[in-house]
Amino acid sequence: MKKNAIWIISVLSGIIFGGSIYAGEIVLSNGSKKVGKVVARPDGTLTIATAEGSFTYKPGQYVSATGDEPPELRQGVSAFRTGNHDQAKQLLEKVVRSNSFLRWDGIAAEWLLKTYNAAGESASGNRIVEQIEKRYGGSTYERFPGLERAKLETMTKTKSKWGEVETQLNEIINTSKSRDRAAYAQMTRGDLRLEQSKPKDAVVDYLRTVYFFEAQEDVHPEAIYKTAKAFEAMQDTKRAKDFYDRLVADYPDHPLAQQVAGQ
Amino acid sequence: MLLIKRKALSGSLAWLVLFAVSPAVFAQDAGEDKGPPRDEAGFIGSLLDEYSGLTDIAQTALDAFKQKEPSLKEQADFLQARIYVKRGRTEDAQKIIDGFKAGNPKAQAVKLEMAIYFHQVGEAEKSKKLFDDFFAVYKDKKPDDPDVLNAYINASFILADIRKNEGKWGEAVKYYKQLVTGAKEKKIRRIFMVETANAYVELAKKTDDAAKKNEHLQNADKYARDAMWIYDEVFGKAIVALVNIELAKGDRSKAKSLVAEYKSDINGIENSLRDARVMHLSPRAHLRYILGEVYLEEAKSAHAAGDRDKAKGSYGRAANEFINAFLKYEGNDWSDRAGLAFKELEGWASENGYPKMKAPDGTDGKIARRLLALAKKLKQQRQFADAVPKYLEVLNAYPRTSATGEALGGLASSFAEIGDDISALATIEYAAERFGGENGDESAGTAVRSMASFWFKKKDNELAGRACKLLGLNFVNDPYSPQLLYGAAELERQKENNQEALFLYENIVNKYPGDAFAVKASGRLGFAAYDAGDFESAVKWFEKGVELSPPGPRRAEAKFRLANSYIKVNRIPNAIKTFLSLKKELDPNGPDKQLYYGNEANKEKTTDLLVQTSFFFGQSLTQLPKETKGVEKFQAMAIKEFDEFLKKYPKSDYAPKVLQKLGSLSLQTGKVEDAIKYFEEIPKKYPKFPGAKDIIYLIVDSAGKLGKQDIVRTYTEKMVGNIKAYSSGQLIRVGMRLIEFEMFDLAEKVMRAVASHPEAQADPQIEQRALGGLALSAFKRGNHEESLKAVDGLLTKYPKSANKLDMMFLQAASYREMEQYDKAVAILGDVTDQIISLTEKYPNRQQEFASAEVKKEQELALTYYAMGDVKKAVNSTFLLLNTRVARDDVEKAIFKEMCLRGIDWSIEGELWKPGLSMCEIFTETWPLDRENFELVRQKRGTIQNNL
Repeated sequence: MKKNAIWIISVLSGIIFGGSIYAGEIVLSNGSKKVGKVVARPDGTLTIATAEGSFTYKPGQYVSATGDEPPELRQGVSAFRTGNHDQAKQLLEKVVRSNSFLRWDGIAAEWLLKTYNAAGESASGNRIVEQIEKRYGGSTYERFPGLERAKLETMTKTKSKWGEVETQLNEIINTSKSRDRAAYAQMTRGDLRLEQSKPKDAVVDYLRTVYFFEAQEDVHPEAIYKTAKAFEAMQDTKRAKDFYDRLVADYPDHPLAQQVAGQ
Repeated sequence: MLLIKRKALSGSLAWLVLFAVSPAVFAQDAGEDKGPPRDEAGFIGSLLDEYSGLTDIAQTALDAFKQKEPSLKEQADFLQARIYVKRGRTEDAQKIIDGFKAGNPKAQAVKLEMAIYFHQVGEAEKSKKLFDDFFAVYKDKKPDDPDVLNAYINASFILADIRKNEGKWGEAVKYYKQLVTGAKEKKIRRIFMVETANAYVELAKKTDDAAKKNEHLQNADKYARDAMWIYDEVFGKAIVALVNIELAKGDRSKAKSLVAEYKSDINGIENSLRDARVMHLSPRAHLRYILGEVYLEEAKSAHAAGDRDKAKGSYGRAANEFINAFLKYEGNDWSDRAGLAFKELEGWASENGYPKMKAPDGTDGKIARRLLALAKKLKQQRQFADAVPKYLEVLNAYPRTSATGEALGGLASSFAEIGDDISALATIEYAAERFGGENGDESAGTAVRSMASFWFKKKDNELAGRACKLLGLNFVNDPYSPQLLYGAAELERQKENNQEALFLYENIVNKYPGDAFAVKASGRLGFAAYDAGDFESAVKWFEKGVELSPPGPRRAEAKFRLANSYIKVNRIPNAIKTFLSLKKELDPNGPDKQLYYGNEANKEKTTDLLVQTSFFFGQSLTQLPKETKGVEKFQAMAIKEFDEFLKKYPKSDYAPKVLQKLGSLSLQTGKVEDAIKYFEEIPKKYPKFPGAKDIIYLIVDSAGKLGKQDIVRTYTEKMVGNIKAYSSGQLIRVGMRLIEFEMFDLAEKVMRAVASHPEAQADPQIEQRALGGLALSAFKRGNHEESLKAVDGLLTKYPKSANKLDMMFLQAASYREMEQYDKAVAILGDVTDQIISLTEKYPNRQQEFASAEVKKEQELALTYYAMGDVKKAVNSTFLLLNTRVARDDVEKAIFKEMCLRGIDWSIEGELWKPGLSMCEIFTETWPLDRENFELVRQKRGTIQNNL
């Protein structure tokens, strides 16, 4: 009987709220968890159907919420990787649309932004970023560092955004408590310096990332590679070689290391 | 080798401490009765043992010994050979021992000393051969000769240590056993028994053969238990050995039960050590470490088996042991290792989803500091390349602790010492950005400052400047920040990187408002803004500078500029107030007279400033708008001030100007006769003053400046009505003034009168000026045809007129206004030809022709724009900005105006690239023009969005 009641609530919720329903959990502000089917409204109000009944929480009453990983996410990422941008857009847009406030929207947005950039549709990319920022407010980038990284990288490659992105990067580098964010902001600022034809300044940022962010393995091998590249651009072949060697020695399985080893 | 004298070794703990330091302890201990002559020799020997650096003293003593005891040659030779070895003269030592009889034991002792020497200097092969030769002789017996016995024990200790470090445990066992039998003192023998036991355990671990392994462990057990005579620290070390034996057997449970079994003994030993304030010697540190490892293994096993609860429990116990070992036994090797093990354990727990163990506050910092100590030691030993990875290890393991700043400082200087400046720079940038700010890490600031100092000493101003900037911009609490930031700003100013310099000065003022360097910086900002004509900013900075600085010549200068800036931005009341206050401050009889007139250098400067201040104060009183309430009172004050001025400074260059001002004030108040009196005084008293002889001119000039056009008109009409009474020169001067006052109708009248003046007909210069003036006046009145006529008249009569270029510009402008653009463009084309021809003819007038080029480009651009060809207008403007250089204020103004127009035209014509370039030119050239700067920044955004 209870099962039926839950099913009815779930279906009704889906119809009424226009959101999709996934099994998941909500972590409440008091630290407790609710497990069940979660439905989100556009304003962030969540309704969860549990074995004990249905509960509704407004933003501020919960810390985070998540549902099962939607299969479209992996499919979308895969489509992006194989260059099938139209399909990737379709799948990822669906994830963003139907997983609002359930974490997967932010993750899908990162890949969607990359997809739009690759397709030369930066305006659509900006729209997605704004949408997620609106949903998660000030905590957007603490929750989705990948999205922030994609956004900053996009801005770095757009000359008119250099001033703005530099301010944002400096802010992250100077104040972020998250070493992951600080590490990639630092490396991205190095990228910006390179774009601005300042290889010496770029190498200083890359070196910092290499020296002081060894634990940030998402960034560290790339930073080593970029350091080597920057030294190469500065005609310092000895140092370039040292860093290429280090990349191969420390991260033998990393694609960049394999690329270097292959040369 | 021996660092502590024998008497100091009587306490057992001291023995233990010394044990780690010097094998020569045993040499002393094993000494036997040496007899009277040996006292002297014994002293020399002990000098060599204890103070190897004092070979000079040993040599002096030996020389005396040789004279006093010539019969003891062999002993003397032995000591001489030892001195040679200590000095690295091994060949000389070898010559001496070659002279000894075969089998002389003292030769063996010297050889052994040589072996030790070669070991110390890293000549491993030579060292090994000598050791092997020595021990081959004493394979089955101990040496009898006391000197040789000393050497034998020393060598055993060194070799045991070498083999231990090489992991050659069988060899280590051999030498430790020699020490057990060789050492005389019981406690020392016990220590070596434990060492032997430990070496056996390690040997067993490396042995695959089960029987052999068991045999080694039995031997270990025997040696450990043999050492357990007394409840002291050696007893504790023996327990550690027993626990290790069980672990080597793989019996963790037995190992733990052994610890429990001996718990009360260990507690007793530890209490004694605590009372003696040498807790770091406690064997418990090692035991805790071992237990930590045992529990960690258990945790890993349970985790692998999926028993998370059990794993969590064991992990907690491991953490507890490690953290206690670390925190309670500072100075003990095992304590430091426990710190690292704790960190690794945390990593394992985090990776596997176990909760973080709460360590006491500051634990991370303490662990980091211990790790840091090793890096620091390497740095102190100038092993910078080795220190770098150690510093990085600390910084990566503990990215933010109380030790981080110090570690960053050590790392940066180590990088710099090995010549890796770019890495040093990366380090201090990281220190500044991640550890700076209002509540920044002071030691990180010190790290940055040290690098600034390092690079200054190396005379690398660029890097030093960067370090200074990092310090000053990020570490507001560092006492040297304002000074060094100011230094960096000065460097930028010297390099003419004015924008960067201004940015830094501004930061100094904002971040360090109470500092003396903030005063200097605001002065720099004020003067820069003043020179750039940005008087709003000049007011802002001078106000700050005046507010912050103490009285003195610098503040007086700033105050004077401030008052002048107020005038420029039309804040006359502020100017009046400031001039008055400065005037009082500079009073030669005022309270600050010593400050301003105390030394000769200042005196003249201050006097000059006071004269200027008095003049400008008077002038500022006359500059209040007419509608100001009580303006008459201010005018009366001005008259009084000027009268006083004339009394005080009659010889000043300002005096005739004061008379002129008084004349003007009289005109202003309708006292024309008084005005004339003042004007008449000028040529009498100051005949060299320009225009002094020309009263009408002075009246017109003053009245014009006051805007009293009626007076100007009356006197000009008077002049024109009686033209013969005036020279053509006087008329021309008045005519030119009228053009300046934009009274073009009257100017045209005067110029026409001059053109028909008999003197003018005879004076080509006057006639040309008259026709030129006429053309200009007509143009300004919009009478373009009349203007063209005058120009035509001038150029027909004087085709080589010096004013030809100006006249051609006037022609072009007239045609443009008459919308005859083709003619205008054609004339501007002729201007180009004219400039080329004139440049060839008058090479020393380059500047003049360059200005004409600027003007031509400006006119051309304006013409193109007027005819609707935006693209050409933009191109001409772009050409002007990129190929010409503004040489004076007039040209600078043209450039600025055209740059702003060019940006607008680019947007209008959607010519984005030149538009962007012009935006960049503007922001780089006029950074202080805040109003336009902001507008251009916005336009630039628009352009970039369309690029």
